[in-house]
Amino acid sequence: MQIIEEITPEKLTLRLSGRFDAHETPQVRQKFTEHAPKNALIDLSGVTFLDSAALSTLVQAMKNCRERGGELTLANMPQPVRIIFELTRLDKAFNIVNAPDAP
Amino acid sequence: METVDLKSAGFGSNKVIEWGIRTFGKIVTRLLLQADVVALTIPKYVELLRREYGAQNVLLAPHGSFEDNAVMPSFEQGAGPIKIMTFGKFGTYKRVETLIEAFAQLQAPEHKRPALELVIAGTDSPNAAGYLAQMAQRYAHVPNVRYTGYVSESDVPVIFGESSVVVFPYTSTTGSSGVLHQAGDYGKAAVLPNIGDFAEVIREEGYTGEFFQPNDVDSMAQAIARVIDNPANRKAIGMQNYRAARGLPMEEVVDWYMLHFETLLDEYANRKGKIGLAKA
Repeated sequence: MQIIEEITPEKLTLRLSGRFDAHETPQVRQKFTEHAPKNALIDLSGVTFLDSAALSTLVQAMKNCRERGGELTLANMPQPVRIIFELTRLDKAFNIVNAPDAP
Repeated sequence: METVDLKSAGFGSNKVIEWGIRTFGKIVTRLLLQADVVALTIPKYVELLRREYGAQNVLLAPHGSFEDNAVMPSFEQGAGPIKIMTFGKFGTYKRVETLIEAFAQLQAPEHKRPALELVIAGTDSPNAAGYLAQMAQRYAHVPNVRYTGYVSESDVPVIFGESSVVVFPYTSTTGSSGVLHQAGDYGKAAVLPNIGDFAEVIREEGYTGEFFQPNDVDSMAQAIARVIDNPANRKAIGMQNYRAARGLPMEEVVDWYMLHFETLLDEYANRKGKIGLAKA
């Protein structure tokens, strides 16, 4: 999986592409540990597969952002990823947008 | 109820009883669906409840790992005989006939394998009292089979830790397997039946194993042989299962559920707020 990182004082942005699974989650967790962001945006437009470990990583990331008074936003979900979110009803829990530059 | 083979599960003794159990099951399912949210561990069941029952309050949730603080297991073969282990409550859809006959094949002198031991860990299913005693008598001629009886919680790590491979001699399944997650926690290779539910769990949750056709002695013996005769394969399967089991520790599963509770509370507060506004 490829991760493109952008960090500003307001927000951490990660653009992910490829397979997001248990083998790749440590990289994403590391980014959140390293930057401890209040607000974050993860662009999932390039993600081709996502498993329960990846979903759990996103849940943890959102929990951490909320504990700091911020929010995690997920952007540009491809249809197969959106189906997983609907199946797990996490689409109701996350802030999901279609614009890449969402807050 | 739609997916359970009641005959294999020991409940399908006649058609009237089977119809009664299925009808009762459907009523109970409808009652359960009165909950705000119903969590399931198999995607197929979420789809089935949405399709057959029109349920919109069902969701897929991960099973999670049992051992949150487990130390890294050893993937090496321990001293003594190679232990082939099965774990559970036996006599209904978990049956040991095929496994013991496969084990007898594996022990045949022409294979020149190191010493083997078959460990049947657990007790009779409540619906099959006396089953394991019957098996012990019927297969008394097969050497190196050990029946442990009830396994206390403190002995579970020992039983799994000493095993080289965990076999799942199931003829049907009713969902995700707790034993598979335990095998993963202890970094064990798995030998699994080629049954839809299991294959789905493995694919969805990152587990793997060697597969056999249910009730096929040769197929099961060959699957076990692919593990015990090939240490590199045994280790690779064990490591993948360990990674799959470690992927979701229980504390993260709890966070996942807490998130759903928070969402429900938010939805409830919003509904209450709207009702309040409408009244005002």
